Parts: sequence; C-alpha cells; structure tokens
Amino acid sequence: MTQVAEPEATRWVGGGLKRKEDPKLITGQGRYVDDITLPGMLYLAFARSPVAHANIASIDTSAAKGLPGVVAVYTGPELADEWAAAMPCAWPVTSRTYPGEPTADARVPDHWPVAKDRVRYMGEIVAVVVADSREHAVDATEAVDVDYDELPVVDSIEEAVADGAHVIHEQFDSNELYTWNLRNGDADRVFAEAPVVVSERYFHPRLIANAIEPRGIVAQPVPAQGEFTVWSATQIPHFLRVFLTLLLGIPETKIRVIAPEVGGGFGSKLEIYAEELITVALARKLGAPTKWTETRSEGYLATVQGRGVIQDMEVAATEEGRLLGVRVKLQADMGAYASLCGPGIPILGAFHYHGVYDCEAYSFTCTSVFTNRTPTDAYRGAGRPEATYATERIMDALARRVGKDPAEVRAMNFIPPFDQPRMTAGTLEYDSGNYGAALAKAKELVGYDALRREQQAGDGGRDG
Amino acid sequence: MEVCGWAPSQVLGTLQYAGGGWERASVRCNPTGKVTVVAGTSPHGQGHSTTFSQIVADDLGVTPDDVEVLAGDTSIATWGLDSYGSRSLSAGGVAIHKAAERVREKARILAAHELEVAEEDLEWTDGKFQVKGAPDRAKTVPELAFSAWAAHNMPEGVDPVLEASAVFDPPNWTYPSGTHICVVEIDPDTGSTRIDRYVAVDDCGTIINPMVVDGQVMGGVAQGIAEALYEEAIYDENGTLLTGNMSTYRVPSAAELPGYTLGKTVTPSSTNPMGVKGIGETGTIAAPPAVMNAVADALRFVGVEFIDKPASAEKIWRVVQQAQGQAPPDRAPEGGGTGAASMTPGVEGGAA
Amino acid sequence: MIPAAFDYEVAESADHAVSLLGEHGEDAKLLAGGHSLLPLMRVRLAAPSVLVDIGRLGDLSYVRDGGDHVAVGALTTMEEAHFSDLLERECPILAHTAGEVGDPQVRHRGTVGGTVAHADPASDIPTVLLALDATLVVRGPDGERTVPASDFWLGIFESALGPQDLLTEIRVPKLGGAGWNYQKFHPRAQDWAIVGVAAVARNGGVSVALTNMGEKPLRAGAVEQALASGSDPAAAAEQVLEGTSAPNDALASSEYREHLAKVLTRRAIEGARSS
Repeated sequence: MTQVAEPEATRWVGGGLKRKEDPKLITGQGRYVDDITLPGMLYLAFARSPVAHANIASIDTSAAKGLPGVVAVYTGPELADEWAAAMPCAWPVTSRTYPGEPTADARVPDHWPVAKDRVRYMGEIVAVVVADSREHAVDATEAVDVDYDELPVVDSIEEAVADGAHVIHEQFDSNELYTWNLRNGDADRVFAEAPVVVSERYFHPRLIANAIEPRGIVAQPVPAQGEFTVWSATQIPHFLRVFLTLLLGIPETKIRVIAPEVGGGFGSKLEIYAEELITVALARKLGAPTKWTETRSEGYLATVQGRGVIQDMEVAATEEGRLLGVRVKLQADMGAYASLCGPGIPILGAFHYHGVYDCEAYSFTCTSVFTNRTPTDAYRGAGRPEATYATERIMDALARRVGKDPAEVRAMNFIPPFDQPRMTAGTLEYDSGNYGAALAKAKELVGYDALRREQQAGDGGRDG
Repeated sequence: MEVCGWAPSQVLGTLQYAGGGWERASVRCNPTGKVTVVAGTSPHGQGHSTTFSQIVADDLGVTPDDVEVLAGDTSIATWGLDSYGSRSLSAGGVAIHKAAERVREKARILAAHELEVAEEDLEWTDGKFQVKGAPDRAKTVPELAFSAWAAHNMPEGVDPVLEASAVFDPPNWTYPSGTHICVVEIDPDTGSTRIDRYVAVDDCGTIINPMVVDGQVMGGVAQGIAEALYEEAIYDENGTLLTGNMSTYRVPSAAELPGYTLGKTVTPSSTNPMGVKGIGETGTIAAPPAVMNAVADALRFVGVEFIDKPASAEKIWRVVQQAQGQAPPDRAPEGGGTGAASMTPGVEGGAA
Repeated sequence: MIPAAFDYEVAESADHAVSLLGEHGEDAKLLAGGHSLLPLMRVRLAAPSVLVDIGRLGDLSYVRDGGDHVAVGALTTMEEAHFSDLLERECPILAHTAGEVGDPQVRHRGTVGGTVAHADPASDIPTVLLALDATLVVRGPDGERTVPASDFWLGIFESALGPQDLLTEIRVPKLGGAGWNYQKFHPRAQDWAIVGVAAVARNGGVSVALTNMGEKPLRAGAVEQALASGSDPAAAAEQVLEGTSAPNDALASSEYREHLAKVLTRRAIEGARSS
C-alpha cells in the first residue's frame, strides 16, 4: 500500500481535497473530442508512408475516390494552396556558445502537412481521404496507390553524424541542426588536472507518450463568415489558434479553439500537427464540419516521440569524491523534421548537468541531428530527465570509483541549504533548495542503513 | 532536481524560443456569490480546477465548491500560454492568486465604504473583512460582489463589478528537487527485476493539494520505472518502427508496479509570492536513475561494470553472461540494436 | 485500427454453425469470445468476409465429470474454467493455467475452445492440453470425431479443424493428485508468454510441453526421455531445445528464449515433482 506523509493543512491550500473534475470524468459525462458529432460531419483518414525515406514517384488516388462514401481524396500538391506557411518550429535553436551570438543560421527545413514529393519518415502523410464515415475513410486509404522510389535511410544518430552520411535535407550540408555549447569555468584544465575522472556513456532510447486519449480534432466552419470553431485534443489551444492563423491565413479573430476534456498529453499534445492543419483546411475547402481521430498504433508513428539522446558524461573529482567539474556531450535525435519545440528540448537540460551539486567548471555541448524517423519533441520532463539521469548515474559511478557510499558522496557535494536565488555552476540561479533534508528523509523511509548492512552481509543477492 | 515553471519571457528570448512565458488570469465575483476564475493554462488531467479553486477559496473567503475554473477555450480564456513544462501552478496559479488579491483589494475599499470605517480599521480574518474590535461588523466578498454589481453606493473613483485580472511573468524558473531511493531484486537465472521498495521524497515548495501532488508523483514514477525497465521504441535499419503497438512497446500496468512510499519536504520557492514550484515532471526525472542505479548496484556483485536502460530481463541476462565470460552469440533481436525483451515482475502483481 | 467490412451471422446451434460455415465457405470465421480474432481483425491481419457468432450457444459452455476425464465445453470462458471446482479438483493444471491467460477482462470473454482453435503457438492452454494428452471433440459436416492433442496443432494459426469444423469439447484426464506446474515467463501481467513450460507427472514419468518455442506447442520428448532414464531436472532441461525453433523478434531473441526454456523447464519439473 502506498504510504503518504501529509503536511499540516492551512485553510484550503495545503489540504488534500478530492478533485472536483473527477465525478464527471469517472461517470462518463466528460466530453472529449471523439464524443463530438455534428450534422453533416465528414471524416478524415490518412494514407501514410510505409517507408522511411523515399521520393514519391507517383500517387494514384482514383481507386480510392471510387470507394463507397468517399467525398474527396487529396495529395500533397493538391493541397499546396491551403498553406500560407510551412509547419512551425517555435524553437529554432542555432549553433552558438551561449550566451554568445549564433554562429550559424537556424536550420529548419520546410515541413508540409502532406508530403509533396518526398517522405522522410515512416508514417508521414501522403494523402488525405474525406468520407461519410470513419470506416469508409480508412478503407479508402488502403486503396491509395503510391509508388515509392526508396532513398538511403539514416536510421540512427550514429548514421546521421557519420562521415559521408546521406544528407536528409539537401538544402543543408549535413544532418546537423546545430551544435550548442555552454561553458562556465575552465573545464579542460580542471579535467586535465583532476586526480579522478569518471566517464560513462548513456543512451536514451525514444519513448512513446501513450496518453490514454489518442489525438483528435473536429473543425466546424461557418463558411458565410469565414469563421471556425476547432476542438482539438491539445495541450496548447492558444498556440494552435495563433498557428492556424499563420499557416492557413485565417484571421485570428475568426478562429475559436477549444481543448475539451483532454486525456493526458505529457508533451505529446504540445505540438502543432499536420492532422490539425489539414482538418481545418478541409473544413474550409469543403464548407463542412470535419473530424479526425487517431488510432493508437497510428499515433506511434504520427505523434511526436520523446528522448532519443546519447550522452558522454564525465565528472572530475578529488580522491575523496568532491566534484570539481562536469563535462557532457550530447547527441540528440530530432527525427525527420524540426518539430514545434524539438530543437530546444536538449537545451532545457543544458544548464543543470551538475544537478544539486556544486563544482567549479561546467561544460555542455549538444549536437542535434535529423534522422529518418518520427520527429521528437517534449515528453514529460523534456531534457531534464536526460540531464538528471546522467548526473545521478555518474554520481553513483563516482562513489564506486572512490570507494564510498553513493548517499555519502551526494551529501558531500550538495549545494548547502538556501532560500534565496543562488548562482550555480551551470549559470542558472536556483530559487531555493534543501537537498540534504530530502535525502535524509528518503533514507529514513527506506531504511537505508539497514539495507546496506543487509547487502554487505549477504552475498549481495543482486539487491540494489 | 529539475528546472521548470516555464518561464521568464526574457530568458526564453535569449534561448531563441519564439514565445513568452507569462501567464494571465482573471477572477470574477458574480453577483450571487460564486466566483469564476478564467485561467490561461490548459489542463489535460492535472486537476487544475481543484487546486486553483483552493487558492481562490483562501484568497476570497469562499469554499472551493463556490469557485468555477474556466480554461482551454480561446473565446473564454482570451489570453494564455497553455500547459507544459510544469508551469500551470507556478505561472498560472500565481497569476490567479495575484488577480484574487486585486479583487480582495477592491473589495476592501468597498467594505470600508459600506461599513463606514477607514480601510486601516478593517482586518481580513476568517475569510471576511471585520472591523477591528467589532467583529460582528463584517462584510464577505460575496456580499460585496452583489453591491458592486448593483452599484448603488460605489465609493468615489471606484468602478462597478468586482473582478480583476493579472499577468505574471516569472522572474526566474522554479527548481523542485528531491530524493528517490529504489530497492530491487534480480532473478539471476532469468534477469528479471523486481522492485522491492520505492521511496520518493519530493520538494515542490509550497503545497496546494497533497493528494494532487501524490498523484503527479505516482504517475511520473510509473512512467519513470517504465523508462528504466520496460519501454523503448525500436527501429530497424530501414527506419521501420518495430514496436508499433502496446504488445511490443511495453507500457507497464499497475500489476507490474510497486506501491510507493511518498514523503515531502517543503522549501518555498523564491521565484513567486506563493513559494510554489512544479511537480508534474519530477517522477519521470527521478525514477529512471533511481531504478537504474539500483540495478547497476545489484549487478556489481556479479561483475557487471555498466548497464543502460531499459534494463530488460534479456539485457540483464546478456550483460551478466558477458561479465562472466559466457557471452552468447551477439545476435540481437531482429532488426533491433538493443535487447528488446523486458522483465517480469517475478511475483504476481509486483510488490504491494 | 478498424476492421475491414464483414457480414455477421448468429448460429442458433452447433449444427447451424457448421452449416453456416459450409454456406459461406473459406472466408467465414467462427467468433466465440473474440479475444484472439478481433485484435487480428482490427489491424487487418485477418479479414474474414463473414463472422459466424457462436457466442450464444450456451449449451457448449460446461465443465462436466466424464468418468475418466473432465469434459470442458468449448465455449467455457477462461474465467469459468479457472474457478471451476471440478477442474480445480480433477485437473488443476488446466484450472490454474486458464487463470494465467491475459487479464480478467480477457478471461471473462475468451473461451477455452477459442484459444485452442486459434492455434497461436504463444498460447498457454494448448501447451497444457498437449502435456495432458488431452482429446479434442470436433463436429463437422460429416458428424463428430475426436482428435488427440498430439495431432491437433499443425502450425501457426493452423489446426486439424477444417473450414467447416466446430470444436465442441475438450477432454482432459483426471490427474488423481499427480504433480503439475506451469511456468509462464511474461514481462507484463497481460502479455503472451515469451516462453512457457508445462510439466505433469503422469504415467510414471513427467510430460513436458513448451509454449512459443516453435510454430506450434511442442512436447519436449528429449527432456521426458532424460527424466525417464534418471537425469535430474537440470540435466534433463538441457535437452529441451531438441526439435524447437524459438522465434527471434522484437519481444525476445531466440538465444534468450532458448536460455529461458532451460530455466523454466527445470523449474516446471521441480515444481511438478514437489507439488
């Protein structure tokens, strides 16, 4: 059973009140996007690329158009006029040594909601079917006939950075979006002179958010007024409105975006998606309400993924285990395109690879690259789990190296308690912290000392 | 630890992010006594309606049930920057609190006027404005809301209706922290890992609702354990996603997860007047290294120098084999670069 | 995902089901609990043109004492089999293993006959039936026949059932207190077995059968022989790979499965001998 330590309640703040939202949610009275049905509504389904990298040699939608219930089928070139701009990247990080000036331009390749002549990841949309029912729409996607001229696949970070790697976006000279640096103090000297250096490499595979509710969108036009009401399973209705304006040319004052009940996001609904743009564009084009709902397996390809990072992490320390410096190099997998915030995710962790510990020298470098896979973006923690993972694993490695208990090495290196902003090695001013208190409490709750004794006494028994 | 509470707008600009980090809220006291809060954040499971109601209830002397929180509709919440990066409380909640304080300030002026005393002679006690030394002479915010709506007797220079809005642009991020400790047991024959104990002590600054905090931690830890032991999107050399659904991409269920022991410390943030930090992401931040460090700690005893995540049963089996000089042929699962099989809890339903 | 379009018929009796199958031909599939077939249909790995729903044939759902065996109607759900007092008493390995399949929601819909007919080599119950030398009762256009478990499963999704056949009953021997054990290695509670091993002490020896070590459930004949000639469980388990072809996929490599097979075989034998 879960044991919960509760603080004292003040009046309402601090008290454990049951959630007001829950009665309607757990009795099925909540209204999610997929619950919305409008008169005359048309349903969308997407034909998606089964290959990771290919030119579209030809695409024939005539058979699909002839299937029962199909109202229209569109390819990328046929929808080109709908877009006033390409899909947005709101965080076009450039190469630089922060806070210095950029040393290169942002590398944001054009990304269109429906592929025009080339697909760059398995699952990229190649055609849109509009029909009178979801089933008819899905059936018709199977009848869209596409001839793919396959291209070399850049299937990993290692392949993306290799000499002679195939360049996915030909307008650039490599698969690199940026190399971003942060330096504080003289890490090279500190590492060169340190008595102890511990290095490890960590790999963060891509993760799939699996929010309980798949994505979906309904767009309802009022054609005579050029007005639109859009319901989307999104974390960012305000941003969606802004980008619908920028990308579809609809005045902002004519768009209302509603995020109804949304069943989780974890970052995967923090995105401006092709499906959203297409659904609204087709509501405009056809003058009818349109709807799309994602399936779970479709989402695995179509919804942004998380993580996808390789880290080379190093700490320099004294023989006693006192930290002197942190140096880390990252390689981050952006996927086939620059997503809304994807380039910035590693940057969110850039400033705190030293964690809650003090040290005098700090060096961070991240190279982000394109690969032929679903684009990555934020996933619960977004850059900070990666950073904390590297910090905490290397602290254990450091403890092993200097022959001390991992909790002891941490306590030795904590920034001492503080309640006002305090500058740290990564150049952030942390707001407050009392790291020793949480460690002491956690040790007490788990029975740490007894556990360690038990571990030493036994054969280890593979208890960690 | 982590940095969250997205974010000081100016700092975002220097980082080349296109948007800002402020948040806006309005608080409206309706004539019949209920309060409408319009938040610029956009909930998708976090329980904002509850926590924001608690904040406003304290600020205005009403109950959380008297408060309705509206969000997620651009025609109603006309300004907002939505929800991500653990910002809804430390940016959004603070904006709500500021707006509520402004409402109370206006209400104080009204109360003094109606009670015919100077403002200094009033104190805010037990959720109402009381005349010092004469507590039976008091006004509640709902009463004043009606007065401000009827507007029959407004003080000089004060407009009708009782509402206010506020924008908060955080001067800094917030920095939650904590310590998680995980104890595992590994089956040497199969490589299977069982979590014996999981302790999470988190510090998210001032706590609004500990149940909501616990829920966030438990959910985050579940995803963090998943990341450490189960989940991995595997692609082959053709860019084909091999783990294309929940059969092959192993999202663990409650049956695989242990019970947690949760604790808290409270170190208020210096970033905002409420002292709040975020909590939504702490579980996924702390759990993966806690679990992996436990696995690595355990495997040390059989000579394994290093193991990375996910520490599936097959991966553990392979590294142990290698450490003991009995490396099996290095043929990984079809198309995958890493061992794809995951672990079994070993005992039914995992630890209680 | 969404299944391809299909027609739907409801069978009013077992004979009606057989005649509907005859009428609609090869593209018709029987629908019992649907928890093996429908997932395949949703991702369009199966696309029958007609579903013949036998789910209402209540008289095919029973657990009865058949004298020297226990007779389980094909439409008995896993949950019913798991909680059957008769099975618990007379053939506990089947009662236990029925409770290992999927999760409670699956077990309340999925049927014993359904999983047998579906013939997925990763299923648990066929393995147990193979270890028990069970008998399957089949009704077809030419009447009723019995098929021994050893002849029933032929390959992946392939069984002795013809396109017009309906499985009606599963007959399992009474164990009379004999030891048994089923080892299922699965990462998550609701997962299929990566590898499974059934062991039943009977006829003076131990029958051992394997889940997911080939295209159908397999008897580990070499293990059985080793045990019969006096090998201890660990040594006998070393023989388990004979005749197997463990899959290599995103869930596990064949090397790991082969290793697991040895570990689980030893544990199953030890478990059967000590139970």
